[in-house]
Amino acid sequence: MKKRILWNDIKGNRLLAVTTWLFMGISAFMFALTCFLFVSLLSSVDTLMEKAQTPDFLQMHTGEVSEAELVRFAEENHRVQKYQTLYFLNLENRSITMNGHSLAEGTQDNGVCVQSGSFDYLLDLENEIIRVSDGEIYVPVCYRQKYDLAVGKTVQIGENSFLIAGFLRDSQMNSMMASSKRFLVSSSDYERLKAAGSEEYLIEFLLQEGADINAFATEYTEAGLPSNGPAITKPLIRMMNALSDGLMILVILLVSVVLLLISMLCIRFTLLTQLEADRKEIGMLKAIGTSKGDIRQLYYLKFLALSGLGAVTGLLLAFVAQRFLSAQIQELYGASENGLMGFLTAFAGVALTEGILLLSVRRTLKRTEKVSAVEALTGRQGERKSEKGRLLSPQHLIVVLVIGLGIFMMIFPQNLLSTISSPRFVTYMGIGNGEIRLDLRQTDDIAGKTKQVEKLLAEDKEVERSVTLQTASCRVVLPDGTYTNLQVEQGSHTTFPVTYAEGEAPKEKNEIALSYLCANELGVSLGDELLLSIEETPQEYIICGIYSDITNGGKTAKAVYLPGDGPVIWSVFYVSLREGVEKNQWLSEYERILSESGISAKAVDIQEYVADTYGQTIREIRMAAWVAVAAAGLVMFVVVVLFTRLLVAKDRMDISLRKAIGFTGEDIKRGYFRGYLPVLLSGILLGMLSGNLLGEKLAGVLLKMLGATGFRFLIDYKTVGVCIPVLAVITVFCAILLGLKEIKNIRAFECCMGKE
Amino acid sequence: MSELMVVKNLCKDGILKEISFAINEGEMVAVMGPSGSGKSTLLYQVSGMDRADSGEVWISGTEICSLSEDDRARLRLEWMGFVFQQMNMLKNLNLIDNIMLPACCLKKGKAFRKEAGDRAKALMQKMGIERLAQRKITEVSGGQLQRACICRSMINRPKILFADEPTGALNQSAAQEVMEEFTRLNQEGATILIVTHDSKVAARCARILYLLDGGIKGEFSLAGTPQGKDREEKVNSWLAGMGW
Repeated sequence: MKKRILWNDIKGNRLLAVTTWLFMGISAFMFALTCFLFVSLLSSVDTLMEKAQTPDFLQMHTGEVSEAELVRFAEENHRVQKYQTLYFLNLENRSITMNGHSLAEGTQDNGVCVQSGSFDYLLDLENEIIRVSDGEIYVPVCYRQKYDLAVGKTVQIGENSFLIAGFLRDSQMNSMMASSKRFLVSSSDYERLKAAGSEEYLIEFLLQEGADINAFATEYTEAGLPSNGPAITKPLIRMMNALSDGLMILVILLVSVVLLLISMLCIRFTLLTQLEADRKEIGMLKAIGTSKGDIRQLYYLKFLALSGLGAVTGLLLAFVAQRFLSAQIQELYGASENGLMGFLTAFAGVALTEGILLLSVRRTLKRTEKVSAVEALTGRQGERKSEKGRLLSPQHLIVVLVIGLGIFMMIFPQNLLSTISSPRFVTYMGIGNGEIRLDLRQTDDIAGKTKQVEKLLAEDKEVERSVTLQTASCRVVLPDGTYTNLQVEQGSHTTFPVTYAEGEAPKEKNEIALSYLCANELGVSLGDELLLSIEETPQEYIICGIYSDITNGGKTAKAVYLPGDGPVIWSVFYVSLREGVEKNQWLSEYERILSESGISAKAVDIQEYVADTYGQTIREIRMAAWVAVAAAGLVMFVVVVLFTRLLVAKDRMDISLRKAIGFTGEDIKRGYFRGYLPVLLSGILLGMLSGNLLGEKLAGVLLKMLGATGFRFLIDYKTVGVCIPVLAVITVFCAILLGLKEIKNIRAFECCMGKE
Repeated sequence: MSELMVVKNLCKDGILKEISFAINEGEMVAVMGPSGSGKSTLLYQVSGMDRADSGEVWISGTEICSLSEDDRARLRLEWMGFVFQQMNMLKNLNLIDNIMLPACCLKKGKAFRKEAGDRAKALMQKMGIERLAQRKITEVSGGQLQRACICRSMINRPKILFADEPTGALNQSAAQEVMEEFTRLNQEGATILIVTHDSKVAARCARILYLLDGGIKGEFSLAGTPQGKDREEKVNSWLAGMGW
């Protein structure tokens, strides 16, 4: 019996059934997709890091290294499981040409290395440890598509030519957000290339299971071991690996949540409409003594069936779609070894989605309890509130919410996209908002070379402004009397400031700004005092600002002045050029001058740096943003068509009466359009406000999880303020037109025949 | 004959004022009165569809006004059958499924469903609509639909049948057919309370209660009078006396 009721109900209300199934299916699809991608990303990254045996602690260093001291430290430290020093030959980008493409304009530090001996392996595309022969080279997999590379093509390094034998996955530097890229060559080829670049050390430690990495980092610094480059920990490597694709997944997750809300609203709306239409039938069922539970079940069964169908459809579609969307993840990190886990998580995601939708259906079905048998049979309204005198009926309110959520769904990813694409975005990531950045690192006599570059910049008439920031390692005394090391960037931080999440840039001698991760680790906040010392000269500082930073391991500080004369670990110069100066020409000219002066500095155009570092993320978010626009547009269209059709069905007698007294179809349609105007305007306003204000807060929460704080949207007003509202208006207009088509089939005499 | 239903001092929203009456087992009683006199309201209160403001309704020794809504619903399902003027049926079910619906709500299980199906078929056969079993409710005439409604009302073998203007939406011949079915059911022992303002319908009942301004203004017994024209004339002249 129930099966027959269910089947006949679906057959009789095909449009409603299809719409319900669509919404349930789309919600299931989006959540399943998010789960698949999320598990795929985490599992692929973890598998890669496990197979490659990524170090727990990594210290970059240039200059002298006492191997014996490091070995002794490793042997004496109970946290250390394995230790090794790897060599990385940093090459000039212009000396590398791949498949005819020069890397001269690339912003990454490219270099060669040999396969590691005991851990931190470079893996091939099967995630196996690579064994490379003489004359062969393995290229970072992120370059494969970018430079259209294939096995058998050549890589030219200076005078030496190598045959590409394959592509490598580097668990440390795979992501474009990691600033260096390692190419793999044989030991003899490495020796041959040594003269073409400068050698850096990667001092790596694999710690015992469960060892405290931060405590180890402090012990390493306290031991006075080599540390003139950034120190990086395994969690940071994992975050960098997950960040670029993770952002796309976060956007999909957010869109999924919005779609779930829209689905809930729409299903509630269609159900309410059906309950209203079935009022007499419900009344009759009550009259003959059918229990509340049985009546609810008659409706619930349909939604249960459609939900099951939607879940299966969504799960299958997501299974197919994730294969395409996870292609990038699989390329970079390898196939996920946790396919079953992905499927189970997706299944759980779908179950949760459908559970939420069915719960909302159950809640809505409680309305049937309010239908009185007597009222339904006699047609009396009882306690139902009159809709007259309301600006918007509950049904209109649902359409307002759907339009609002749809616009939110369009605006949010667009705002995220325009923010990440903006040159100013780097200021949320710890990089000043200059035009050009010069890095002087891992070279000898940094202090002397810094002065030379400073002088060159000061004398350059094409330079409008420049600032020098020198980083030194300081000791911070902690409240418990112990101390930790902190890399403090000294100089003017107001010329090319980063964005501060709290407070502002240091201006006074006793002020210091800390990165978010650093402030978190030290357990301090704005206004707190910090005791800093370099070579036993202590000085009290007040924390004046907190900013987010993903550079140099994420734990940095900024001050105007530092006590004592500690060694400079590295220097950074921010430059802005005068108007009319051609940036690329200036950059190549400068590289030439610096090279002639024997200074090995890396100069990058910050805009290009953004494109290089976040390019992949931007591309993925752009794709997600346009998919969101299309999905939101489709959802708005379907809901408005459906709503309008139901409205026309409800008003059939009124429309017939109007026709009978001489209104034309066009007159009646105009009335509906006028009725929609406040709905549309309210929806657009709601969407714009929530997309820009609430969206900013949401993005802030998401990015904070990834280490970027104090996030503000950098809005593209043309897209968000004009294009999207216009698109929404056109979509709704077309949907209303389609929804009102039935008006022409309503005949003037119908009103005289009665409803039954 | 024992009393099946006893109504004492029933009041509702000022429409019903201190109404008291009783119906015996196997009796067919008509409630008549002008529009707005409270006929349908009375039916809703005595069947437990609505809760009276005060007063008592006893059916088979159970006072139904004091029961919860769920208990009253259960009682309606088990003890009562309903036939309405508008022949309300579920449009998603065919005729036989609609008839079986109260039985399926009463008890679950395959065996019971089969038994209910057999009973529905037997009832349809009695009403002469067995060939329409698989038809949709939109594919049969008003008279056929109302006969199906009577079948539905009888499916759980109720103690009492309530009918609210059962012939109100039917043409004359269909109305006559339907009333013949009610008469036959009554002759087979069914207790029936019919709300009507058709004197022909009322003339088929053993007793008529005349409602006016929320109270019972008169009561007319037709016991011993044979069915036919004579009975109708008696009813009409009594109604005329009531100011009908």
